Parts: sequence; C-alpha cells; structure tokens
Amino acid sequence: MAPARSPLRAGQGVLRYTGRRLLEAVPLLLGIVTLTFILLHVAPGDPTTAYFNPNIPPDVLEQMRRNLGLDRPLPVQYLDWLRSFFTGHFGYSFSQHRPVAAVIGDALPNTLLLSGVSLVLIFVLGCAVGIVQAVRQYSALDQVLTVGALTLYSVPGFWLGLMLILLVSAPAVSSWLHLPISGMTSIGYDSMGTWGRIWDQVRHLVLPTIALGLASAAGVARYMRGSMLEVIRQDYIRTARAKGLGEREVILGHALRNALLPVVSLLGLYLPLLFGGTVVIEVVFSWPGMGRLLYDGILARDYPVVMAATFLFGALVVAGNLVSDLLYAAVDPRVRYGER
Amino acid sequence: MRVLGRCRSPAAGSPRGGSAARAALAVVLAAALAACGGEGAPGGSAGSVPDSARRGGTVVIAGQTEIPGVDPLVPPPDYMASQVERYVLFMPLVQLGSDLGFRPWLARSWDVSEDSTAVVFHLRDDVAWSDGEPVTARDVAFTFRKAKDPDIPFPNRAYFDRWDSVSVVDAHTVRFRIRPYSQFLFGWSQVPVLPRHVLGDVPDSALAGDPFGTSAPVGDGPFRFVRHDQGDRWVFEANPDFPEELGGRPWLDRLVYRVIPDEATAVAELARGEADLFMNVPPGALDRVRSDSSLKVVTFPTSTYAFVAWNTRRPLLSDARVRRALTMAMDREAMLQAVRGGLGRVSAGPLGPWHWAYDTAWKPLPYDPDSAGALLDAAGWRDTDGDGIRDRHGRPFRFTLLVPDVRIRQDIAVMMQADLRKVGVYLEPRTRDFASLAGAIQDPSRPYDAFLLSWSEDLVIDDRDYWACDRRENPLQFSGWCEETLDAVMDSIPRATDRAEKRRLLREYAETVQRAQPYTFLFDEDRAVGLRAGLEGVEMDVRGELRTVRSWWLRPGAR
Amino acid sequence: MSGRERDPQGGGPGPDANVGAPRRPEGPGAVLADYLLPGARAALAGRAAGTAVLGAWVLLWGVGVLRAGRVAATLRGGVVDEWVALATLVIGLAACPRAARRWLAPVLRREGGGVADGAWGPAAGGGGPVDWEAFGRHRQAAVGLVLLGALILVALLTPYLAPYDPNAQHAVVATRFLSPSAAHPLGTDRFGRDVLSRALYGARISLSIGFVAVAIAISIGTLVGAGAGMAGGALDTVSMRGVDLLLSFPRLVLLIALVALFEPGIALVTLVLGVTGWMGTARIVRGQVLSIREEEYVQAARALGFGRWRVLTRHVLPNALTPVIVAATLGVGNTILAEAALSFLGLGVQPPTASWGNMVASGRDVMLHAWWIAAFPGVAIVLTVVSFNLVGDGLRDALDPRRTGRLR
Repeated sequence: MAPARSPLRAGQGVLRYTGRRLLEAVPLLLGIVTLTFILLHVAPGDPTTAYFNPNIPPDVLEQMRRNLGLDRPLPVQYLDWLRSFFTGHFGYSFSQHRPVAAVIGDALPNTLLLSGVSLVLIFVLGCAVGIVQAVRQYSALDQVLTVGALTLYSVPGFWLGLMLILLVSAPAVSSWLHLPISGMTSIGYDSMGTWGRIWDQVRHLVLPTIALGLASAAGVARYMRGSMLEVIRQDYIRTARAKGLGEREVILGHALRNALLPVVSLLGLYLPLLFGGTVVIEVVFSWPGMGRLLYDGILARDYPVVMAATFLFGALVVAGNLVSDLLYAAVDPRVRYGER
Repeated sequence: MRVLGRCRSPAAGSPRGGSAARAALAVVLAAALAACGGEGAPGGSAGSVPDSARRGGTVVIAGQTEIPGVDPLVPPPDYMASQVERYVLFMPLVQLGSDLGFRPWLARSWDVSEDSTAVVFHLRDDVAWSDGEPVTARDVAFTFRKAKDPDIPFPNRAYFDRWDSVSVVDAHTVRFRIRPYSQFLFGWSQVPVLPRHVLGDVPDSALAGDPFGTSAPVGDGPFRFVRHDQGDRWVFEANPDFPEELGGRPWLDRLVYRVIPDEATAVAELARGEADLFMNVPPGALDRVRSDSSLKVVTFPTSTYAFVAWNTRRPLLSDARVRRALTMAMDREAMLQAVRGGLGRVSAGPLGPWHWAYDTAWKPLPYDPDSAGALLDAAGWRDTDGDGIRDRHGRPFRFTLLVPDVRIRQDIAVMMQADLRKVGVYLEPRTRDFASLAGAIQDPSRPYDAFLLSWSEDLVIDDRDYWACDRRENPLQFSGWCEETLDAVMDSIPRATDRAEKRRLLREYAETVQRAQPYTFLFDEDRAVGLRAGLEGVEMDVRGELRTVRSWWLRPGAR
Repeated sequence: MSGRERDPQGGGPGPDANVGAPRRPEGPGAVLADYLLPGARAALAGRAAGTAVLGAWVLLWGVGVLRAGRVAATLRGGVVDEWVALATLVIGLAACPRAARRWLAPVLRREGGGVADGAWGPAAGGGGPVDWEAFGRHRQAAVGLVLLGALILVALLTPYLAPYDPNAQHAVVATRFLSPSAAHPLGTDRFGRDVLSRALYGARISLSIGFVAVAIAISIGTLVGAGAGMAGGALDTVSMRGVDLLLSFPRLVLLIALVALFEPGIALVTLVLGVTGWMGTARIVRGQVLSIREEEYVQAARALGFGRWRVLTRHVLPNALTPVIVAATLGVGNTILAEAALSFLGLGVQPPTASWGNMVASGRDVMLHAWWIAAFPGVAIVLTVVSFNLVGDGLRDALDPRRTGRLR
C-alpha cells in the first residue's frame, strides 16, 4: 500500500495519468472506427441501393455514387474518411442532406441530456435506496426494496418503456397524470417563458429517463447496500458510534464516503449499457438523439454517420472510464496514479 | 403556333396532331372542362361555417420517418418530403386533377404548339417567395436547367427526358422545346419551381449540403418555413400572401410535422390529442382508432401493390401454370384481413382501382387449393415419396422467399408458408434488411427464387422497365419474364393519343401480365390516416395526403 | 477442498460430510412417504427444497395424467420435441423419490441442525471453493433455483403443456385479439394464435439462446483470459486492448452488419451474443490466472518440471473457474435480455418462431387495445432473468461468504 502523496505531487500525477490514458485511447478509437468501416462495407448494399426506382436513370445513380465517393477503392474511401475526420467535419450525410458534423451537433446534446439525467437517477436513487436498505437491514422495508430492486434489475428497458406508455395513456391515469410520451418539447415550446421551457423539458424527460435508467438504478442500489453493510461493520464506524455520534452523522459523515468507493467504479460498467439502451429508448419515446441516428444510419447505410456515431460512443465510454477511475482515486487516497 | 388547348389543356394531353385523334380528343376535353377551375379553389363543403370561424389553430401531423430535407434536387428522394414540397412549401406549375389530368397552378395557363414540340407557360404574376421576391419565368428556367444538369444527381430526371431546352420570353412567360409525349406535363406536377435568387449562386457540388434544403428554405407555397429540429419536427406557418384566386391564406395558423418512429407511441399520441393526424395507422390499431369518438379514419387507395416476384429464370418457376397454382393456393383475402386489417383489395393484376383504366370486371384469381393442386399435378409436380412435399424428377418443390425485415411483410410470409404447405409446396422465408434485399434483387446474377415486396406505381404508368424484352438487362426486371407481343403494346402506351385508346392498351397490358403471373399480385393497398374528429376539410387520395392542406381547418373546440 | 473452515454455527455438516452425525433409524412410513409424495416431509418441515421436489412431482404427474393422450401419441410416433418431453417426464418421475431419499431425508434425520436449510445441492466435491452449504442457506438463491428449475422443466415439457400449437392459425378474423379467458389464459394475437402457447415455446428459444451463447462466451473468454494471463507480455497487452475495444464497441453495429451479411435468426443471434459477450469472462480469468500462478502449489508444479499446458489445465484453470460460474449464471440472464432487445428491433429471432422479444414487438402496434400480447412475454422475461440473477447472487455469496448481501 502506497503512502498518501502530497497534493502537489498527486496533482502532477493526475495530469500525467490522464494524459497517458488519453494517449492509450487513440489506438483504441482508431480500432473501433476501422472495425466499423470494415463491417459496414462488408455488408451488402450501399447508400444508393435502397432508392431503386425507374425514375432514377442509371447515370443519375452513378452520379450519386460518384458524389458520395463510393466509386473509389475502399482504402481510398477509408483514408478520405480519416482525413475528413481530422478536419472535424466527418463527411456528408446522404440520408440527412447535411454535413455529418451538423447532424451530430444536433443529436449529441439530446442524447447527452437523456443519458446524463439517467446517470444522475441511476446513482442518486440507487445510492439513496441502497443506504436506506443497509441502515434498516433485515427490516420489512429492506426486504421489499431488495425484492423490488431485484425485479427491476431484470426488466428489459424497451418493455418497461412500452408499459409506461400504456400506463400513462390509460384514461384512469392520464386524467390526473398527464406526462408526455414522445419528443423532447411540447408544440407550444417556443412561446413559453424560461421556467415554462425548463418545466416542459423536465416533463418530457420523466418517462424516457425511467425506462433507460431504472434497471441500472436497481443494480446500483443492490451494490450500494452491500458496500454500505460492509463499511458499517468496520471498526472505525463502531468507534464513531461508541463516541456517541448520531446515527445520521455516522452514516452520512463517515460511512458514506467509503461505501461509495466501489460504487464509483460502476460508472465505467454502466456507460456502455446506457448508450446501448438509448437506441431502443430513443425509438420508443421519439427522442431525436444519437441512438436513433445510429440505428437509422445503419439501416440506410449512411456510412459517415455510423462511423462518427460509433466513434463518439466509443470516446464517451473511454471518457467515462477515465472519469470513473479519477473519481475512484479522488475518494480513495490509497490509489496511486500510474498503477493499474 | 396554333393553340390546341388553353388552361383546359386536354387531360390526356396529347400534343400530337391527326384528325382521328382530335375527334376523340373532343370527348376528353368536355370532361376536362367541367373539372377545370373547380379543384384549385377552396373546398366549399360545409357551407354552414363562415370562413372567419375556420381560421386559426395548429395541426400536428405525426409521421414515422424524418423528412431529411425539402430540396427536390437533392437525393435521396423521400415520399413525405415530396408531399411537403408539392403542397406545403412550394408550388409546381400544374396540379393533378382527380382524373389525373392537369390543372393550372403556378402556371395560369399553357399553350402547346400544333406539332407538339413547343410548350409555353403563362405564369401567375401574384406569387412571391417568402423573402418578398416575385416568382418569375427565370425561376422556372432555373429549376429546369438544374434538373437537367448532368453534375446534379436529380433523382427524378426521367420526368424531363423529353424536354430539351428552355427560354424565358418575359417575366411571366417561359417557352420549352419538347419531343412529343402524351403525359408530358407530369414532371411539372411533381417537381416544384425553385427560387433562382437563393440557389443561383450555389455551386452544383455544394447543393447537397446547402441549408436551403434543411434549415432555410425559401418557398412560395401556402405555408412558410418556421423551423426544423432534426429528427424531431418541421414547423410551418400560414403564408398570408398566398394568391386569393387559389384560395388565399390557409385556414390553419401553423402546421407541424413531428417524427414519431414507434407506431404504438404515435397512435397513443393521437388518442391523447397530442397529434391531430397520424399518417400511417397500423392495421392492428384501426379498430382502436375507429372506436374512439374523438378520432376518425380516412382511408383511400394508393398506387401501391404488394407482390411476390417469381424468378422465372429458374426452372422451378418458369412454368406459368405453376405460378398460377401458387397464386391460387394462397388465401390472399385472409392475409389481407389478418395482416392489413382489410385495408385494400385482393389484386387482379398490375393496374389498381386507383387508376382510371382499371376494369371493374377484373376478378382476382380465386383462392382454390384444389385447382392449384390440379395445376401442379399437370405440370408434373406430384408427391411421389409421400413426405407431403411435391416433387418432380426427384427434386422436391422447395424454394426460398426473401422478405424485408418489416413485420407486416414477415407476417404475410408466415401465412403464405402455411397456405403453400397445404398444397405440398415448401416455402422457406428468409428475412433481409431492406438495403441487403434491395442489393440482392437488383444483382445481375439474380440470386433469389422469389421475394416479397410492395411497389408504388408512378401515376403515369410506363412499366417497360419491369417486363420489356428489349430491357432484359434492367435491374428492375425482377422476374425475367417477357413477351415480344407485349413489348409493342407497352411501347404504344406513352404515345397513345387519347384516353379510350390508352385505356384499351393499358388493359391489354394488365391482362397479359395477369395471365402469365410473373408476379403474384397480392393486394392493392389502401392507406389509413387517423385524425381528430375536429379536423375538417381533409381529402386524401392517390395524389397524396397533403394535397388539400391549405383548406384544412379545425373546429373551434379542437384548436 | 479449498481448506476453508466451516462456519461453526452453521448447523450440521453437509451431506457430503455427515459421517459423524448420529443416524436415526427411519420408520417404514417415512420411506413410503418419500416414494408416494417425495419431498412432502421436508416441505412440511418448511424446507424450500422439499417444496420444490414436491412441486415437480405434482407437476409431472399432472402433465402425465391430464395430457395422457398426447403422451400416448408420442409413443405412437412423435417429433423430437415430444420425445424430449417424454424423457423429461419419465426421468423426472424417477428422480423425485430418489432426490427425496438421498438429499432430503438425511437432512430431516439430523436433529438439532436448526439453521441449515439443508445443503441439498450436489456435494461440494471437486476442489472448487464454492461453499455449497452457504449457497443452500441463501434463501434468495433457493427461491431462484426453484424458479429456474420450474422454468427449465416447463420448457422441456412444453409440447405437453402448451394448450395449442403455437403457430396454428385458424379462422383468423374470428379468433384474433381475444382477451384473456379460460380458453386462452393469456389471450390471442393478431393471427388468433394462443399467447400462452407461444410464450411457452418462446421459453425454450430464450433459454437455449441464453445457455448456448453463454457457453460460447465462456469458452472464448476462458481461452483468451487464460492465454493472456499465462503468456503475459505483449500477447497479454494486445489481447487486453482487444477486450477494451470490443467493450466500447456498439454491439448493434456488429449485429446489423452480420444480419445484413447472413440472415437474421436463432443461430446468428446466438453466435453474435456469444462472440460479443466473452470480454468480462476473459478479464476475470486473466485476473485469476495472474494471482493463482503465483500460489505455492502452482509454483511447486512448475518446479517439478510440468509443462506450461499441464500446469494450466491441471492446476490453474480448475481454480480460476469458480468466479466464471457466477459470471456465467448472471450472464445467461443478461443474454436473455439482450436477445429480447434484438428481437424487439427485428434483428433477432424471426417470426413465425416465437421468442419473447419478437412477441413483445408484434404486440407493439396493438398495445392500446390488446395489451396482453406485449405485456405477458415481458413478464416472462422478467421472471426468467430474476431467477438467474437470484441464483447468480447466491453463488457469488457462496463463493465469498464474507460478502453477504454484496451484489452487483
């Protein structure tokens, strides 16, 4: 076990560590992009195949393919994409009639909003429930929550989404709980005030967030409960109690920080799960985000969009892992940067 | 130049001379006269409601697919986008009448030279782009030149195959040189006129990514562009300057197109009143929508038919008796009821009831497994080894059917499999995603036995690409079947001078195809659009869902 | 044995070690009861295992008697499905009394045991460090195992249990969209097919995809993990980077590309889930191998001059595999969820074959008025995944009793 480091040296460590991790991510992301490129081009069909129509003369079709650069050899197309990637505009999206950078620029914030809020739900709700369970171990509440968490953990998100829509659409429910079931904003959004707009977005976020995050929140709760129970058994908690500290202070002041330690590492585990989930959830709730873009892009063989989307998902996962490791280090002084 | 038709330009639009033809033309002209002028004007159905009470409100249209852009010059073509281009944002020169003849729209009238090689359009002078510029003949010429520009992959260039050159006569008059063709105006009913002053400076190579198509369109139609949130919605508002003569400002204040990819969610939104109209109510949800007193359903025939294409190049399916037997072994009525909720009719051939040449005396091949069995027996397919599958020369009657990964098509394949099994034919459905399927069926090596798809006919029927013997190499020759005698018939259809002749030719064509069964035509599909009971003035037919959008209005309680 | 000390308060020793326990002679009544109603005595004594055996016994007899016609039809000439069901019936009926005698009776005989719920699992032989006794005490795990056992039994017996042919379409228009009733407990779908029958057949599809895909994943994962761990150096680095790459690669892209290349269906979805699910296992095995290879007995084996391969297969792997069992159990649940999501998107199991995922998808458009089509298959998914998770958690705890209640 390494001795605690001085803040300054630790700070340098953070920078160097982060830099090295980012450097390591480069070949990883390049690998992801290359693999995507190969898979897409091995699959039959190209962006123009689906538009067969006697009104499109063969020469026009040929022109379309030429404009998209599809007539060139694959290695050249690959290098072209890489070049467009490094210049930051990611190429042209055939199915969206726009540069990919603009397409992504519109979709990415929406997905980040949805998954960000879900992430907060996952960890805040999960930790809160886990703590309550641990504090009230073996109580009826604990058992109910355990069974509930276990069940929710096993619920498929797409099915939960459908059932939620079914629920809030039932006349008996919709009469008192009018929640939006599709889209990000209401039709009258433009004419709302600032608070009205925020409230409108919040209402639209409720159902997709639940469908996307509830299962993972249940997972975090189960994990948090175990982690908390383990910490509570430690000597220093006994000491704190013996000193006559209030239960609230013991739990929130002393135990929580240490119990959170392993939970933080779950972040890296749940990020890919979360992004994978957005594909289905965005379709079910008409959320105009990256998941739908990726799905539609693959079906339309819109190569540049798919490449950019997989790259971004990969980058987000890498970033999430890094943040999770840094957080872990922040709460656990024993971790020394540079170690694996 | 002698004027053949003015405004009341013939419905079948024959620009070719000849006295016999002209005599026949008179009949058609009379019919066209009655309709002329009637359809461009606002639909005056419920006279009890004063116009002032119709104005106002927002209509939200829910659709399952995104409208990527509204520039008709930019591929790929998109069905909903073309609707918006034609009826919402822009104006084409002419509109289609209910008889599929042509009516004035942006062009107030047109003259055709007697030798049918010149067309002169006289444009309206009271139409302006949304930025205030007037719409002029130069815009028409610009649109035409872009459509013919070999550097621009304009998807519908075939519409202007026989249009050669353009010249601007004055601000509101434009003249074209053309080669004679019967439905020559059709392209100008589909492709709207575009603003030269906006797009004129955009280089061809930059046209595809230009904001004009996606975030800053300048239009002259009944509605103006407000905003486009990618993957979410398009918002339009009423154009207050839309010509009074064409109905003036739309009744609605706003029109919103929202993308709701999941059909269950879309139906739920319709039922909750969050959407006013859903473009494609799934057959399974029809009863639900019909039973809701706050909703109504509009159904109308489309030019789409569902079919199974048999690859007649393969010995298994080369015999017309076998293909007939396969058709008769399928209970298409049951499929229609189960899979499409009865939306449509069992098909009697390539021409659907939406078309004026359709013969109501046509009967689809009956569902008759016994006769189907007899036909298969006659063709030499018998179950000699008692395994329940017919065979011939030791080869069992098994084949694969490519099916797109669309649930309705997969459901049809499931029922087909069950039906064919009963007459001793084993069909194995294979699901493909749409792009792969499209790639496979256009492959020159024709790597399939059969496939299941739906096909939308162009409103002007010219099917030579599918069956002409002299176009065997065309990728759309899915079945590989052709008849030399039919080639002559199909060649004369576009040149036919009048409707009676054209009707005769079209029917001969349809009946020949029906006899040979290179496809099994499953059903002529209807479309069901669900809308709120308070939304009035909605009329839809084969010409499109948004055709009457200018005169849609909301009852005050529904706003 | 791993040499772990048994919990002193943990009740009597397990059945594998009950040598010293005082045996009380049994009366003929008890023996008879074990043959007539196996598990009944244990069930009366409040043992979950007893209830499970009794339940299985009743289910099997019920099927045998109520479905006697179908059973007889199998004997006259049935398809593979039905022979499997028949075999299950016969083996199950033979196994129940045996289980009652062998596993349950000794537990009941042991007085003063108290706490133990009876270690009714297989004997903890083979040197694995899983504490089967702890596992047996784990109430949730017991519930999960009972549930899982019931599911597997039901899946095997499906041809006898399903009230209708899952693909039979009769007068479609008259029989479709029937709400749940006595004739169709879970209603009918758009073709008038019985939802219960389809859900039962769907169970076999989902379970087999889960098991086979996880088997593939474990095999690849173990191979890669052990290889990387034993080899070390560049090979280790490269393969672990590969694992990172696949972990951050969207599975959907891979699947859609493969579906476009080949054709969607059970085989492809199984393969893809297997091939994309091994990375976790590889990491676990590598970690285990790295730690175990430093243990004394492995060092000793190496010092004795045993080859690398022999050391790996004889010493390292068997000891590294226990956490893999846990991961696999949880993995089956996750795989079933993934299969459902893919089938829901139309990329997995194709109709007419019923899978829970495509059943939910097929009920989507009619959800508002025929909710049962989409709802019940979802419930089936939840139940199945819950039971796998329960068992997996139990195994995990049994692996490390110190971590009671610590769950992923």
